[in-house]
Amino acid sequence: MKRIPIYIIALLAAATAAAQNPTTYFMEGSTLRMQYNPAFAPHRGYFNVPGAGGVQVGVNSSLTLDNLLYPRDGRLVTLFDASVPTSEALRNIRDKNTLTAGTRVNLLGFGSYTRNRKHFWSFDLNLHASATLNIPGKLVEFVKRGTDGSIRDLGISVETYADAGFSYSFPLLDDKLYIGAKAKVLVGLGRAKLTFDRMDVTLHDDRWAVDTYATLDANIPEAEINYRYDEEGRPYFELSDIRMKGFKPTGYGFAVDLGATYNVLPDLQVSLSVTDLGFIDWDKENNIRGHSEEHVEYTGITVENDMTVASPDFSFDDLLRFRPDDSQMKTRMLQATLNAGAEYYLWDHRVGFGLLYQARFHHFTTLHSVTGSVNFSPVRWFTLAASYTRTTRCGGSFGLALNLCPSWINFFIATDLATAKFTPQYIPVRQRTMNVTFGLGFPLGPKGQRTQK
Amino acid sequence: MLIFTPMKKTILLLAAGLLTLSCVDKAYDLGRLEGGQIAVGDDESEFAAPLVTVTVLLDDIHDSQGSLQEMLDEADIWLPSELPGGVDYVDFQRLYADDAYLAEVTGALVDEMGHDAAKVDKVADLVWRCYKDDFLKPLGLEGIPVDKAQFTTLFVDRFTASEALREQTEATARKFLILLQVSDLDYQLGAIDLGEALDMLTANLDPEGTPDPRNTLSIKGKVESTLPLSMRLSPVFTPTGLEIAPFAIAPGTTTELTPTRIYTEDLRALAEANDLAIHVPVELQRYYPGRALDARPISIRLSLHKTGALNL
Repeated sequence: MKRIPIYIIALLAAATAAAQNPTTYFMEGSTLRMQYNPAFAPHRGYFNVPGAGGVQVGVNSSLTLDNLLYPRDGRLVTLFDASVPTSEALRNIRDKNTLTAGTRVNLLGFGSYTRNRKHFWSFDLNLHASATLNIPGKLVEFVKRGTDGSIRDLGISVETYADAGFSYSFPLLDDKLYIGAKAKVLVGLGRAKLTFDRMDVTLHDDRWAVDTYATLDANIPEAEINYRYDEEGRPYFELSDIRMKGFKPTGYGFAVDLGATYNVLPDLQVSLSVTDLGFIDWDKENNIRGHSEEHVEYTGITVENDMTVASPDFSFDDLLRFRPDDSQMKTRMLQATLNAGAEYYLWDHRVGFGLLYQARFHHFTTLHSVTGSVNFSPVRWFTLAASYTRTTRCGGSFGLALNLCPSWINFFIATDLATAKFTPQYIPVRQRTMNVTFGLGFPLGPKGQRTQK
Repeated sequence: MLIFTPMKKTILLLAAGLLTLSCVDKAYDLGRLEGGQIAVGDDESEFAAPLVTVTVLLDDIHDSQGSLQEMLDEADIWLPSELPGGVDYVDFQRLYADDAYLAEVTGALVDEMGHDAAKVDKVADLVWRCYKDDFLKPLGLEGIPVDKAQFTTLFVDRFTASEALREQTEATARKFLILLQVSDLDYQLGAIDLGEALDMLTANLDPEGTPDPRNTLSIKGKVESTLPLSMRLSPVFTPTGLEIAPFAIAPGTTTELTPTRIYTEDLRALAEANDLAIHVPVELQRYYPGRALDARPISIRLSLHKTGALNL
């Protein structure tokens, strides 16, 4: 009996994340809100608890866990298991199945209003990790149906970087319009993209063949490759041949967040922003590139003219054997996000209704989502928000968020796992998105004069 | 405390709400996740993998005396143009076992030679080349030096009148036709390296005797033939002794072989043999005279057929 180690599951759950919990967009006064739009500002200045000022983990997938795993006679098996009928396994599989995930950890953050209590500045240092996995439906269909497969763009992309950013926002048009901008210096910590551009599988009675073309492009700190050599003396490497000798940044870059809010009416505010608009120049020194173009074929034995031609060994070992390509300095865009929101307040600003559209541009896909929110803020330092988000290919999710910012603490927590059915490891079973956000900090400096209460 | 109290209540309320709305499903305990039997396809799937393709050349088919081409060229001479029963073939099995049929065939030959000078010329030429000594006595040429022209002229001139010559002709034709056989075919295959496909094909086979089996392995095949012969072939792999169900082939047709079910040990024996060979006994059935011979007349393609999923 083969068991999949739990650490692999944990790795998949944690490493596949891209984290912005849309419910938190409407938590007026929270320090986290500025990451969506630099024109937003908290009620007053702050100093975040280092490492805990804002932790976000998120997963967006076009598949739910119960699309991938199936309980069978007390066991839990994958959809590829023989006991899972083809029709059941393929029921929820689409042409393009993506899993995007990310985490963002605020390592250091502080900010304050200026003397006029309307301009706000902040500085923060964050660690980002994101991953995108693309599973073509043809791959699953090939495995379950056992027919020929013409599989394209099977790939995984991971990226980690740190940013140090300075943000500034200020009013215009008699305080109706707030403009904000954040400039971020980026330090690339590592990235990798492995793609099977082509994987053609032929299972005919005269020929079994697998044709693949795969590329690897990675920036790994202090990378060293122990090359191997084939019969013709040509070098190649496998993934296990890559070693890290030490650690140092592998790229530098710059990005901006740009945003604005506009009070159309005293109780109606619209907002628009683009975040992570920038790039990282990944250096040549630590760049590893390679390609693998393999043809594995089995045709049996052919006898003709007293000549016996035996088919080569039908082995998949060579499919991840990469021929080295020249290293390159690569400029790569960040995975930018477009946010467009509107909030309308009632009952002396105690109840608000919000609508948010987001477009997140990932390596293999762009995710569009719409969030509707109801916010309750009986007192200025307390906000409870409930939301429902519908994301393309990821379905819907219900979210809750709480922001507490009395005079001595800033605390916020938000999740869209409130109504989910979980595994005992707290992975949602039937929900395509998973976002958990929390943060802890301390108020600092004078209160701002932006809010209407 | 005044500030803390509502916050505490709210958090407790929120926590209680979350617990009410969410639940843990132990059926999805990731700690019990198993790799299981990852399979390609399902119970309804059928996979076919190539095994052996043999192209039989015309020169590969022969008997102890000569090639198939030579055999059939001579058969065309010994056989009458109009075959008994008005059919376009001669039945080898009846030639071997049915004296009346054999007599009918050779009798028709002699009759044809009685009125077809060209046929007599062909037989005379053949007799000069291959059976001269048997015909010296009926021709009265014992001990007399004779060249081809004299021999064949005498054969043609005396055939109608000489009962002894006709009898010798019929006897020679009979002797040739009942001995018309071809040798078994033998091909060295070396080693079949199925690689990782071996485990995929054998991982989940139902054992012999399983009622209504779903995961089976068989050897199937197709044979294409352009030979003017129908034959029955009975291939057997050596040294494993694995026999393919005998099959018959007919001229200008593609024959689908009856599946031969095999089991894990059979395929492993094939895959592990380094000196694999295929031995093909050939039994001639019918000959269709007057048709051209192809240099590559037979193609035998054997493949492995797996029903049910392939386990990885």
